[in-house]
Amino acid sequence: MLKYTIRRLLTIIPVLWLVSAMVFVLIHLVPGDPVLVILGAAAKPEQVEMMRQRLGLDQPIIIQYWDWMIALLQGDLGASILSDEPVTRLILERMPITISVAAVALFLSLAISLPAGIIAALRHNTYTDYFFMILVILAMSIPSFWLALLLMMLFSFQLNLLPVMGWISIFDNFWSGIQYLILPSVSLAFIMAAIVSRMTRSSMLEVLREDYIVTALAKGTPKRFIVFKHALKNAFAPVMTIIGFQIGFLLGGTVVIEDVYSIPGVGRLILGAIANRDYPVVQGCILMVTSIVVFVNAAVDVAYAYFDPRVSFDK
Amino acid sequence: MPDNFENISGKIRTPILEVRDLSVSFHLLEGVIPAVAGVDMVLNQGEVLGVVGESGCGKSVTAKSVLRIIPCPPGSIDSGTAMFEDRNLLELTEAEMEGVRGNKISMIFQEPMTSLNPAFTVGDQIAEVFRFHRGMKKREAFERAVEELRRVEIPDPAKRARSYPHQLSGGMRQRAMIAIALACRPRILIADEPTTALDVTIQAQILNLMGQLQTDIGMSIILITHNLGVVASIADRVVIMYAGRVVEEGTIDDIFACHHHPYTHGLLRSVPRLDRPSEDLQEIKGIVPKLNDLPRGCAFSNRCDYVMEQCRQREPVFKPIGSGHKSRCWLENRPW
Amino acid sequence: MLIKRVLKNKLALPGLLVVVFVILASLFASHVAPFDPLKLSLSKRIQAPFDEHVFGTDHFGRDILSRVLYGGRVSLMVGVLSVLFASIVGIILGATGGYFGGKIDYAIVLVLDALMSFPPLLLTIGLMAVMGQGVKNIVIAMALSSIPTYGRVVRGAVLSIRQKEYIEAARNAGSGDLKIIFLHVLPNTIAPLIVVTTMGVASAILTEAALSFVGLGVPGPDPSWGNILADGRDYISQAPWITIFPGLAITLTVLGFNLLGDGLRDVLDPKLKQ
Repeated sequence: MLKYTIRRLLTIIPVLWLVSAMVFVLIHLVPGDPVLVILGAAAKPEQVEMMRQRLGLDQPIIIQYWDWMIALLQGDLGASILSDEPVTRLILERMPITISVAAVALFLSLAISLPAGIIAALRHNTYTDYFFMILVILAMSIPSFWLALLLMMLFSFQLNLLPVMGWISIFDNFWSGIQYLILPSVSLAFIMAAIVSRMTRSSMLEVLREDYIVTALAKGTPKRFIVFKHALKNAFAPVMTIIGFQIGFLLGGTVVIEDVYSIPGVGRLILGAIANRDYPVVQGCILMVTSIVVFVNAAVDVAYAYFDPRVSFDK
Repeated sequence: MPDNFENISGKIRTPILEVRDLSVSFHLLEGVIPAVAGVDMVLNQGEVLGVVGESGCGKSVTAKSVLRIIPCPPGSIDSGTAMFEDRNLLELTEAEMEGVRGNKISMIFQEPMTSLNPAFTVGDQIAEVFRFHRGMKKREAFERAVEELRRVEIPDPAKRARSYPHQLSGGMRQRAMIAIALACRPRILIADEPTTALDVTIQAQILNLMGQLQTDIGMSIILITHNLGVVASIADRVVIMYAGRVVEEGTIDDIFACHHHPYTHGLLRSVPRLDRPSEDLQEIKGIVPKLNDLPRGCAFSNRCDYVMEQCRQREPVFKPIGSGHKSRCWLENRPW
Repeated sequence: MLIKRVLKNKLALPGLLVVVFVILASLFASHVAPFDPLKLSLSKRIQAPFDEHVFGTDHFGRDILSRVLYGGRVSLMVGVLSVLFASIVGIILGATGGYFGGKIDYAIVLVLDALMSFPPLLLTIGLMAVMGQGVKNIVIAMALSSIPTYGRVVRGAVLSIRQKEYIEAARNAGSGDLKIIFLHVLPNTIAPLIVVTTMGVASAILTEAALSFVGLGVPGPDPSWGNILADGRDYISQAPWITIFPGLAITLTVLGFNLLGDGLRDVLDPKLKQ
């Protein structure tokens, strides 16, 4: 298990390296001269030259990459063109907000989807199951930001129950903070809940047909024990993979949801930076969020080995 | 059948499990499949009863129905009784049934590779039985599990108890399955093709182990198999099944030396034997009919070499043709 | 035979009907649409639906129904094209890696893994940020972010086929790698590929909507479902219909593709059927 964990964590390195290289290349995909795009065509030549030097774009690309990589390894993502603040600090200031929205959404979706998926599997081929399946496929088809807008119409404008937009941290004022969290996280949780419950259902169905479930029955194990011990532990491994996979979608979705509700998280930071052509901030945000996804997925894989011990031994 | 009868070894045998008129069907998209149709079966104290037939003949379904571990739906037990310790198993509540399974009646299965849960250690899976049936705490149950592994002759049981199933060989896994089944010293062990998936040498070891533990514990065994060789080596009595029905029943000698049903005859002729020239080896002609599309009259009539007109009209009655020897066939005498 | 099974499938048929309906409605938008989707009419600003304008009008007095119909053209085209490009690149990468194995495979898997680590929407947003708005760029950006999905599916399918005896037989018969890949390997990847591409169109439509909504997708005034939604944002309390109807169109279309994909999975992969 330890060996497996270490080996899995080591595989992060090449992936992260490649991810960072791709992010580095991003700025070079700007059509024409990035400096001119940033400053506008009317910029004075000396301004252009200064900006070029500041971004390091006057150096050969190899040197640029080397400098960028060295800085990155020290946690330095450069400085914002707009405010001159270190990108790392800008992101770290906003990251807790994004993570709290995503984490609440994750929690909500799991709290709904796992029981729902299990119940649907146990009621396989009944009307409960059919109804559930229709609901799931419908939920998967609703754009989360549109759902966010609808929820806003209903709960904020029509019913006046919840704030329209903005943000108060739950650490500053818990109850207000919760109110600001509800709609964004519910709209984000929706699709995730649909996908995870669907996977839970099909994985449970598959596992419940396994021979070892019959063995457990034959030795007199009570039904709920069979479902929650024998079946669930096996069924959960693929479900967890899907959850890990969905983390990326969740964080991507957060960007748009933050925009809908004017939540000052990383999503708003990147969208604002794009509007201002503040490329270092754009690059930094993408790299940071992607690194989180990479680490989460590695953690998921390690946890997978707990649920399915065959993984860590076989290879 | 009388309550007691004297078997060949002269011992008085008392029935421990009596299945009467058991019918089980599966409700599938293809229609209703009558998997078991009116099966009678008696298991006596201390004996090994071989249940033989091709796959799909209802032998496993019969056994699983007695333990009530067929999935319902799509399965449904339509009629019958299964008397065990003066109780009809088919009428017990689910909770009462849980107290019987793995405790008084155990079952082991064909596929040792898939019958153990891959996500838990072998010891944990044995210990569970002690926790549910003996109310032991986790630790004590695990220690007992190690003892059980030693009993089924698994080397280094303390280490193996902490292993996951995939770290064990097929033979070892089947031993572990036996350990689970016998942990509570059940009165009946149902072994569903316990050696089919194993190498020949391992097969013999497992059969020996079962026989030895049977004498130790004093239990009865229902051995489900399609392998007449396995039956010949350890069974006392044999039940032959075809298309969800019992077609012949008798002692091992009845079946091997003076079987009466043409299907039994066909089965025996399809087994290679050293004392017979190989040109006598014959397959039973035709294919097993679909259970929801059986021929009229006798279910075997479309494949039988000795079919008569009345076979196609009426289903034969299951009638005695000797002491403890019964057959479901219209033939008066054996034509072979 | 296959078509018959699709038509008999309880999921695929309604999915197919919805998809065909949406495609026809968008394709014949110029015939069906009651108004010019671009025509401004200040006298008709923000009119409620179910009156003269069935879906109402926006803040420029443009007819929402017509904009939704024309918007469907862009949204569907972007969705289908991005999936098409992504799957072509995915097939090439997946087949190469899966078939040849070894170092090539390791490199391809690494690239796919890295690409896959990016939250797809974030990568698309990042690419749009540097490339700039425009339909062509959306297609490129969305295709790039979804390459790994197809690459992995194809690679998985190829890996499972590569070991089969008939591939060995073909090689012994003197067939070259390319011939084997095209004649024997790729045809076997079609079933899973059809399913993922169908579902892929659904998610591409969702992505386009999100992109255009945050102002990084299809630039106005030409309508796309996402940018109609973006237009509606500022009028959400006054004129919720600007937001509601294009959202319904997206949901319906995505639902259609999802149902179709699910049904096709049932039909093409009997193993997964209960």
